[in-house]
Amino acid sequence: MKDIILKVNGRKYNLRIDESMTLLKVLREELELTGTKEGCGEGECGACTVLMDGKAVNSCLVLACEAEGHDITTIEGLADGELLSDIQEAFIEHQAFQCGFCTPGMIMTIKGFLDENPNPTEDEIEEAIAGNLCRCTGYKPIVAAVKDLVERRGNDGYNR
Amino acid sequence: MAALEYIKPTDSIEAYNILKNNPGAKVIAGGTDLMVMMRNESIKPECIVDIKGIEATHILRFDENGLYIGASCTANEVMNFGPVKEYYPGLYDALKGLATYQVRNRATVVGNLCNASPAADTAPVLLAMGAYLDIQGPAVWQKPLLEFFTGVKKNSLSQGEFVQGLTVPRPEPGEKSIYYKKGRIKGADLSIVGVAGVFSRKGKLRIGLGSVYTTPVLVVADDLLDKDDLKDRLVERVLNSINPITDTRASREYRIDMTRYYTFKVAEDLMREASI
Repeated sequence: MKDIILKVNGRKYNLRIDESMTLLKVLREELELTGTKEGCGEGECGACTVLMDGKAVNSCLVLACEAEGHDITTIEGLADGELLSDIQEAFIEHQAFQCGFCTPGMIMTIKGFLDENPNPTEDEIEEAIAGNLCRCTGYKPIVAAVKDLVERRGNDGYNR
Repeated sequence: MAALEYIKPTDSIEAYNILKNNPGAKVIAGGTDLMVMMRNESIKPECIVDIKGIEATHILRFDENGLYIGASCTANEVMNFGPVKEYYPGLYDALKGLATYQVRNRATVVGNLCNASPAADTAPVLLAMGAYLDIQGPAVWQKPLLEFFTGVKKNSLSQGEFVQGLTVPRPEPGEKSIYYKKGRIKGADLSIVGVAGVFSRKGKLRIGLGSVYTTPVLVVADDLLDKDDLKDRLVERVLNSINPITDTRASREYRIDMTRYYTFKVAEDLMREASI
C-alpha cells in the first residue's frame, strides 16, 4: 500500500491505495466519482477519459500513483453546481447522446481538445473523438454539437 | 493485478540500479502498452519503475545534431513540436496515425520502440531516418535502432538497461520522408502494413517496413538511385526482405500485395516531391 495525494477537481485527497490501482479505479471506488466510466479497460473505448494537466487521457491506462502531482479533472468537475458547462449544454441541445455511457468520456475528450485547438475543422473533430466509441448516436449529433459550440464561442469554426 | 511496488526515481543511475537488482521490475513511461499487458496478465511485474521523474527523459530538442526525443516525450508532444512537421514529415505522418488522441497524450515514442511490436508505427520511419538510441546502463551508450529489434516484442536491452532517449539525425538539405499506414479502417487501428521512405538526391533511398516480418525492417537502396528501373528493383528488393504472416488483420498474400503497392507509391511520391 502507498500513501498518495491526488488532486481531483480542485480538491486534494489523502489516499492509501494499492499500487496496482488505476486512476479510473481510484476515482470510481475510492472517491465515488462514478461519472467516469469503465468500458473496455484497455484504452480502446474512451469511456474513462479524464483530463490530466488539461490533457485528455484514458484513466484506465494510468496508475493512480502516476497521477500524483498532476491536476485531474473529471466530468464532475465541469459543471458549476446546477450550471452546466457550454459543452454539456451543446450536447443536450443537439441530443448528442442516447444511453449516455460514452458521454462523460466524450465530453472530457472534447474539453481537452478544444482547449488545445479552439478552431478545429470537422475532420479534426472527428479525429479527436476517434478514441471515444459511441454505439447509439452514429456520431453525427456529437460532431454537430462541437461545431455549433465552436461557432458560439465566437470562433470561425465553420469555414476553416 | 497482483500487489506491486511503485518507484519513481529522479536519477538515471538510480533507476538503472533498481532495475538491475529487480528482475521482476518493469519500466513505465506512457504505460499505454504496459497497462494493457498487466490487465490481461500477460506480464506480472513485481515492481514498476516510473522514469518520468528523471528530468533528462523530458528533453525534446532540435539542433545541429538533429532531433532528440527523451523517453518521457509523448507522441502528441513530439508531433506538435514545430521542427518535426518541417524536417521529419515522415515521423509526423507516423505519429498522426498512432492509436487515438487520448493514447497519444500518454504514449511515448521511445516506448513505441521499446515495446518492439513488428507493427510499431514509429519504427519504420525512424529506421529509415537512421535513428540511434541513448541506452542507460552503468553509463549511457549509443546503439543504432537497426540493432535494437531482436524479435516479436523483443529488444536487445540487457537486465537493468533502459532507453533514455533517441536521436534522429538532421536531414540532408532537400531530403524527403513519408510514411503510409494501411489499416483496416479509417480510424485508429494497428497497421496491416506500414511503409516509410527517406530519399535524398545526394544518394539516399531507405525504406522502412512494419507488420511484414518478426521485426520492423530496413531496406537500404542507395545503390539503386542511378538505375533506370529503380522502382521495379526497389520493389523486388523490398519483397525479398519481408516474410509476412496471416493474422486477424490480414492475410500474408494481402500484406505482400499492399507492401508492393505502398513501396511503389512511397518511391513515386518522394521523387515527385524532391523534384518540385
